[in-house]
Amino acid sequence: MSRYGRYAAIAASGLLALALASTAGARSAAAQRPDSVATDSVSAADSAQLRRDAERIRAHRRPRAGERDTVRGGTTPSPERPRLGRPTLRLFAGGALSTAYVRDDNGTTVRPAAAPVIGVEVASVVGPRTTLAVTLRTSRTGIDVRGDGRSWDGGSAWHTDATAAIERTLVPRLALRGGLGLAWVRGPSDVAPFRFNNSSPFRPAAELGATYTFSRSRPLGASVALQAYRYGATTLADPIREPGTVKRLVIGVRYGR
Amino acid sequence: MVGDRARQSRTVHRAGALTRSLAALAAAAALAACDSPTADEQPPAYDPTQLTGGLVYRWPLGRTVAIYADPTAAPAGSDMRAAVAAGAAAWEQVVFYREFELRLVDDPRAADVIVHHRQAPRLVDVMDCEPPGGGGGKTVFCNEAPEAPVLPLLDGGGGRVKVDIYVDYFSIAEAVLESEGLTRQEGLAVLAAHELGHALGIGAHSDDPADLMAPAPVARRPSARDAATLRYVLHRPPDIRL
Repeated sequence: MSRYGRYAAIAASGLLALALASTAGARSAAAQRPDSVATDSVSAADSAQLRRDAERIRAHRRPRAGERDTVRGGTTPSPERPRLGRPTLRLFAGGALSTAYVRDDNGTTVRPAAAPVIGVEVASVVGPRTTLAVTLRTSRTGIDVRGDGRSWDGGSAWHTDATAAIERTLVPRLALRGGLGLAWVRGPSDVAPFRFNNSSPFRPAAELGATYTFSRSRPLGASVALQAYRYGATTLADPIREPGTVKRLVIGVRYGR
Repeated sequence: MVGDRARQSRTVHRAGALTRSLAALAAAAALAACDSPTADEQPPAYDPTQLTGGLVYRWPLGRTVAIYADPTAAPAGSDMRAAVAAGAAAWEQVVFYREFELRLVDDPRAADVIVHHRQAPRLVDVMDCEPPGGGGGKTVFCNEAPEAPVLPLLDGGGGRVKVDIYVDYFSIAEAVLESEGLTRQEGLAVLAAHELGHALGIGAHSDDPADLMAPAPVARRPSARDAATLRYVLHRPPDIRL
């Protein structure tokens, strides 16, 4: 792909994150309208049956753990009122598959092996069906060097990334997320590209992903994310003349609301 | 009216969800399509096959090459093991992908390469493989395709030695050592490193006297030109596999 193609890809990722963020903002603004808007609608319908039903449901419904009862004085609650300022903690465990750290035109490829990943995330609802999540994930992976029809051990590398992402619930239990952040990658100092990149191991990163919550009663879900970060070309000696993009597919389970 | 609004809201919501899903898919595809970091292939600084008639020889990639530094007949003040260790470390630093590891061993039976003083008797039978001529050092292996044969140990045969190297502790003139600021031991290390360059696959001499692979070497370590040449050789299909 040409340089312009790569710039387009980065721009597309950024635009997605911005789109998700702006949608979240719009929803948040809508949710902050007075509840009287909803009340007016109900009043206009002037349905005694609706009020009776609401009272009956309210009487039988037990608030879930951690859920605030927003029904006051006979008004109809906004069903998606944002719960700002109540961050929750999420835990992640899974694995990652990655594309090559470097492909040398001489036929050599340096590639990370499949690696376990653990992570922690602080999430805060910022709007209806919209959450801001700050994620920290880390993994240690073996490095596989291939060339000349053989493969050999290239040592191991640490990968840690911090991402701020907007998560948007599309349909019940399924949420999409997009985020930007930094990836910190450090590997053996005698293997390219690490021998040239260990001195400045922070790299811009982008992420797109989805989470599927298994059930409404337990905050356990499957998570998949496609991460990408720029790597290479930090020094003149680096055989990678221009940075390229390393992609990672991170799959696992997430626990926490 | 309430029902109409609810239906309208659901329709708008579905359309928004579809749009966001498509945008996410497009962005994911764009991310996935980005190029991996790519290194350009570098040309050699000099023809690495000028002494072998165009034949490329080298060890299989990723291989640990065991070296035995023979202390037999060592002149006073010389340390062959230290000289070989310095040369091995210098060559290991010029490659990018751990194409080889050079490890010193204490037993010639476990060695792929033997380095000895010129005065010391050879530990292996080099058969008819020794090229004519001489100098401060010589690297001998049998250039038989596709794989160089083992040079059998004279003491009982067998072993796994494929390369025999000798170096002459006294071959560099005192005046040259002085002008280059080298001790006699450092001169030995230069010769050992030069011959290890041949053993790793550089079948040539550089015409730049600043290179370690110059015919009369005085450089303490491989130059950028030597490094580029070795890296080139390591990724050519070998005509002779060591």
